[in-house]
Amino acid sequence: MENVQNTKKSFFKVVLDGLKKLGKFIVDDCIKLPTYILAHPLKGFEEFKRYKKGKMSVALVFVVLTILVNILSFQYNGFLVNDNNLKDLNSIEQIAYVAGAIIVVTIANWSVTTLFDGKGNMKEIFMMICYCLYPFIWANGLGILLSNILTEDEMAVYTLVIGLGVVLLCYMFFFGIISIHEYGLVQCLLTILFTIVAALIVIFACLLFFDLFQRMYGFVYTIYREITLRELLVNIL
Amino acid sequence: MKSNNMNKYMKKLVIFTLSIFLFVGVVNVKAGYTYDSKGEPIYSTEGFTVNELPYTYSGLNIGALKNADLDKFIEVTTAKSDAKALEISDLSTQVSEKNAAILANKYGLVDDYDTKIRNTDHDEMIAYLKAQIAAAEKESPKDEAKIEELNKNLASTEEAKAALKEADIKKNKEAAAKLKDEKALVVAEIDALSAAKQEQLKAELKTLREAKAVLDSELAALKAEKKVLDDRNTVLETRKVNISKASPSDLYIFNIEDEDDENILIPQEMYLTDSGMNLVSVLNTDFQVVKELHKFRLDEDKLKVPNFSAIKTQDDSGKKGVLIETNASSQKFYNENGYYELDLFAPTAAYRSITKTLDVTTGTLEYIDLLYICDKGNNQVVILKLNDPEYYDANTGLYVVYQVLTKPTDELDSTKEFAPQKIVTDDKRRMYVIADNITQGIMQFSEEGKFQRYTGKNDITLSAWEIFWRNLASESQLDSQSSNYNTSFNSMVYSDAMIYTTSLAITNADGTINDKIMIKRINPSGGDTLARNGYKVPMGDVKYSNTTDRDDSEKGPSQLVGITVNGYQVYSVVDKSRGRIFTYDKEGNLLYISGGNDGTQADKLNGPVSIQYFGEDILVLDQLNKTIVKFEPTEIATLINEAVKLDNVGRRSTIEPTFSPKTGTWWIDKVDTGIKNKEATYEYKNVDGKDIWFIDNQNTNVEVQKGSTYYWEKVVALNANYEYGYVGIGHRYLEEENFEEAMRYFELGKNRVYYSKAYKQYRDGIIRQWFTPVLVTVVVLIAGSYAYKTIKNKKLGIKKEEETGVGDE
Repeated sequence: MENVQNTKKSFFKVVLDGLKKLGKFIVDDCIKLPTYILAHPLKGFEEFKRYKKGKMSVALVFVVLTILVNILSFQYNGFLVNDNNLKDLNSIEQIAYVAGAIIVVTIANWSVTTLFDGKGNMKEIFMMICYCLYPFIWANGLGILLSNILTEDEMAVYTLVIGLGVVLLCYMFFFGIISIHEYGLVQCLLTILFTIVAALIVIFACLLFFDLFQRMYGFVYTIYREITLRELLVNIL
Repeated sequence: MKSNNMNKYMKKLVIFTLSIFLFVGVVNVKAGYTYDSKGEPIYSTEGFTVNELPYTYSGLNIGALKNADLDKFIEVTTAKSDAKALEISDLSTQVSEKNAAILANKYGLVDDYDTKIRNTDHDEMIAYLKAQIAAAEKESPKDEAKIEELNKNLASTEEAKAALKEADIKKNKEAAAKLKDEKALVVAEIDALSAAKQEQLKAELKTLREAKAVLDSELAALKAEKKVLDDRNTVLETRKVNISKASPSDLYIFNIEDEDDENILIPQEMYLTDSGMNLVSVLNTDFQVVKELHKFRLDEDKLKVPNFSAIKTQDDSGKKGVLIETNASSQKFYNENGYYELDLFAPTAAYRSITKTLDVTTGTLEYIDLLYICDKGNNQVVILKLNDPEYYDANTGLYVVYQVLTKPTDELDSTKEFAPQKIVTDDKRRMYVIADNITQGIMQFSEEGKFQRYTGKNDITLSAWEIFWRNLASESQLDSQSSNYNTSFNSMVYSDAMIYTTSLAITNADGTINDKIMIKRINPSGGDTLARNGYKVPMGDVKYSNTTDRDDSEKGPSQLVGITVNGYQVYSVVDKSRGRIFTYDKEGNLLYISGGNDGTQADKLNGPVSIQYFGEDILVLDQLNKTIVKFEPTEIATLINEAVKLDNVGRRSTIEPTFSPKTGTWWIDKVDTGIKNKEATYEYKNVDGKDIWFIDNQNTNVEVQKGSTYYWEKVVALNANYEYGYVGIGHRYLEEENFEEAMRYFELGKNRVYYSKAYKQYRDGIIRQWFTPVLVTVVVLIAGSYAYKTIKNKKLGIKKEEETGVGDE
């Protein structure tokens, strides 16, 4: 009897502790630190890198949240800004869109900064990029709400919020690169430029690969059809 | 065994053929389409369909009248006058029969009485006596005394009879005289009684006879005319026209506004211009050629504007007659009849308009009926005055030229040719001319033919880079690189002081194509005021391929070559490249798409050059097929047109009966029905093709005035993808202040502007509803917490004071 009570108590305690931990994780790691980085980017990323306050779990949570917010805004954005047909909603596509972009930028940046004496490793770059999504998530979340309560004349506010989200993303990315790789201003700008070029090259390579693959597939498929149809014709005749 | 095999093969063959037919049939069924709010093509029924075979050149007998003498504008109305004549003769026979019957009845009796004479008594006595005498003679012939006595008796009796007869005759005569007097009296009486009526009937008869005489003569004249027409028809049928040269270039329909409803245009006459055959055929609305214009009399004294020397009179066939004068720009010939003749040379368009003008001296309104013909080959516009005997030579059946608009030498130098393509005029008889290779815009001329200005220009857009270089370049450099032309217009129509135009897409200096301003609505000051409030800008096909696939015609933006506007500002344009008709309302919403050129059927548009509203129908002139194709609106298009018409006047919802507590009766649109049952239900039923309101199941005889929503709902029921229909319904809910429903329909109709309007009202309503309670709650909460704090503080303060007090001690 006592044992049962004990286990019950301990189970309750475990849940409570878990909740407490979760709360702490959400408040401290997912909100406080990114907000601090946003407000004090240099100091924030210093803590992020040097004191190892940045966490992979948080980064992944931000990726998931970005995907979620993208899907939600696709469906729930107000009619005034939403021209999407729900039939066109493809969650796999949305996931691939976000994850692919992050991966491409990460690879591009890593490959550039390796050549440019960057101090950050790939894990740090990935985490930094994910942390940069923080203002974007807020802006889009707020955008869903605003687009549902504003009229067309007031949509400037919505545009402002969404725009602000993107601007802050770029702002964080900029300081992130300075801090992670311990760059100066000019070097940072150059790196960003080359990152974009590298990303384009990566995309180009991917497209080329897919195109070639498709052609190959098409070729094989044509031959297959040719053979089957011929057989059919022979059968008919 | 063999026959079995044969059967097998036959079966296979039949199935094979059938399946091919089925396949071809399935492939050939091509559905109509339209564009949705995103500009994506979606399935939709066509707006117009072709229900009858197109009118061909040979069917219309174009050109057959060209050299015929039998040209007169006549309508045959013999059937009508025949009926009237019959009516009159009926009446006259009725009158005479009636009078005869009356007289026969009255006088028949008197004439009978006149012939009756009574003498039967005496005849009996004489016969008795004669028998007695005969008996006596037989019995005793010697008894003469007795015989004598009897004879005496006989004689006296006969005497008496004679006397009596005489007296009787006399008496009868007297009676007859008396009766005759009576008859006279009766006749007089009857005459007196019916005199007035007879007089009246006689007068009526007289007038009717006169009318009949007039109508008879008219009838005779009409019959003569009919004979002439019949003769002409036989001539037409026998005359063979060579239409190999034909090249129809323009179709113009002359309309007049309906007296009751200015939204309705009633077509009067059609003008089919053929530039290959050098003639303008005038057709009536039954598609019969009534006149063909190809040459006119030129009279120097009768020209309104004296520019005789500038007028050209050539046509492309070698000239006949005597050359009278030659100068720099023209040659003039006398023909064998001894007057100047003007022949049309490659005419491109005809336009007719009736304008009012105030005669200042008499103070009366004069109507001027002018026909403008673009005589492109002669570089001029020939203007004729219709319905004016002064400008019509009845002997030759030729019109006398009223005015000629020649090349504006002050505007165009000798290197530029004046080649008028299309012409319209406004209420002040200013002329607007589209001319070939004139890229500055539409040329505007005064009534007298003086060039005024260019209006409505198709601008190309220069890129910033080009503008920069052009600023730096010298004038000679600019001259050498002036390869960027503006696009010229290719059709126009005048409607309510506005000129609607079409042109091809503009290719900008940097090679980009501007297909957004192919349709323009030019106001009197020259600005473009076309409403482009639809989902997409009116531009024909929204989606098109820029690459050549199989056919060049499939490539690039629509080539709009014709435009027409109907009475309620719905306009249709025709696309030459894909043979489609696009119809828009005055706000620029795409209403429906029709036509197409896929396939080689006769009703497909392979080379449309002109489009005209023909009442609710549309006529398209096809240059390639040499046909006039008549398009009739489909069921859905009829409904859409009706809805648009009602939207234009702002009647969206149907007017429903209301109960007025003041009078205690039901009212429908200011009509008191007098039905008193307050609880009554109402509905409408179809009575003789009209929807009539029934209240309490009683016919009110008030026709239902339907609103546009009624039609939009039907449209949406027919085609749920017709997004603009939902907007129409949404408007009605917005008017009724049912904002939630309005929002729903505007969202379905993808109209963000009106959705926003409805939503704002809806939101304001919610705020108004909740503002006071929320504010009160907040104030109460703040006040409460404040009060709670002060009270708590006070209590604490007392405690503190006590504590401190204790501490102090």
